[in-house]
Amino acid sequence: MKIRTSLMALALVMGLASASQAADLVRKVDSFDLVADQSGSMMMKMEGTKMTKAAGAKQVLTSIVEALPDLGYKGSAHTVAPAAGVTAYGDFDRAAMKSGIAGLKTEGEIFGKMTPMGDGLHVLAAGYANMARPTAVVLASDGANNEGLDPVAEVVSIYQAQPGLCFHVVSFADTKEGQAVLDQIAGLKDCSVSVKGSDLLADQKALNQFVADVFYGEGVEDALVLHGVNFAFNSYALDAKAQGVLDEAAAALKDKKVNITLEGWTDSIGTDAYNKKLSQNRANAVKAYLVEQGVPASTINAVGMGKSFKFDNATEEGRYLNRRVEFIFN
Amino acid sequence: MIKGFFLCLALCVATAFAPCDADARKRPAQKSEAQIQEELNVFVFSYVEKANKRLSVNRAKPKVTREGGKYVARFTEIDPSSVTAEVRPSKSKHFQYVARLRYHEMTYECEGKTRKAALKGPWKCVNVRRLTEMPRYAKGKWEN
Repeated sequence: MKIRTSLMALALVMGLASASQAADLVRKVDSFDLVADQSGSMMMKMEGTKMTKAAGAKQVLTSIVEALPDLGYKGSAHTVAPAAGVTAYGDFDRAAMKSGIAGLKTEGEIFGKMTPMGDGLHVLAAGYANMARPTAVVLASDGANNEGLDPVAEVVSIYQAQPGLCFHVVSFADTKEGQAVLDQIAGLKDCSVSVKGSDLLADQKALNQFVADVFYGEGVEDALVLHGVNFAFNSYALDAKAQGVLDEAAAALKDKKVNITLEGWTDSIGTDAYNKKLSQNRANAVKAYLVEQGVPASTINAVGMGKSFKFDNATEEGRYLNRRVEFIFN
Repeated sequence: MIKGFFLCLALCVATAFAPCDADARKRPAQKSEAQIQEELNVFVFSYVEKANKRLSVNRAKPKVTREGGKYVARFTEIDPSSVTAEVRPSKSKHFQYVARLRYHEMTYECEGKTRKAALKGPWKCVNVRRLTEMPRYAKGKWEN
């Protein structure tokens, strides 16, 4: 608990110190590991190309690193079959990550070399325990020629021991058996994204989509939330403090020049019908005041939402937070 | 002559030690904007932490619903690493300063065949609200 609080404090200080980056994007995971299969079968040519599967995997992983927005991730890169470090776990450093991936082998012995992927994943699992959650593991592999531990069973075991982690598959499989192994890994959890490496190599849009699906989402709603817009008991007359708060909001809204849905909320004390009507009257009062301050009436739609249960109504503080006005920017 | 000198001396001493501006002594020292920002940072940290705890459905208490043949667990929390807060002088006569507090309110979801499985994670971010609040600095402290 203490560590979590400290981390939160650190994150907050970091957040305060710098303006938010890539404002429209929000990260889905806090950390990731890029895993390249370096087994003998990956040193074979991809169908219809002169490129080895290992070279394809290297190119895809490099492109993922290039397409990844800087949203404060922590990351690492490894090889599997055999398991080894490529880029050490830490704050995402694009140049360092690309430099590590640049050192991956793309050619080597083929015959007699097997793919101990399960053994490799078993080794990597220990390091995953210390990664910030949620974690994405991107596995670029052909899934073929396995020996040693069963890779699917290893991923099951990692899932059981380590919640908050999700495997994603970039497949370079050219055999039914290999693809079946990768499909089984991807089928273990709904969170997994599974794609063909050749598709990502051929189509930048497909690669960007993969990165978005695994790593980030787009902000979907913008809103201004005001607390302290208070009214006298059983009244919708704005007090002086509320007027002060709305003066500030009006200034911000005039800058925005967008249509607004103004939602008035109450705490849970009283009947539903009463609070619904009260919240509508209050939303109307706020709208009227904003219009007086120069915000065009045609841009504001006032809605009384009634009781809010977003915050805990059992506490005074929770009830205070529930009594709020939200401006949703349409 | 000597009497005049002592009178003058007494007057000077009295002037030097007198509370010539009693109001100034009562007034607290004016804080710099850097200090106000520092106080805002402390306030915001505490506010975000409390708000996350006060959410009825939070990471410690996800809400599980049955949807079709599966269970879906959800919770919402403010992402602490997304928080930024900046001070600006207030345009209102009621407050000295106002802040723009910006953060991401994330909704996470996990599906499972059972309630227990849904609560186990991994959590997938399914919705993000970019929220702005406007804390005010009045009577020497931040409030929201």
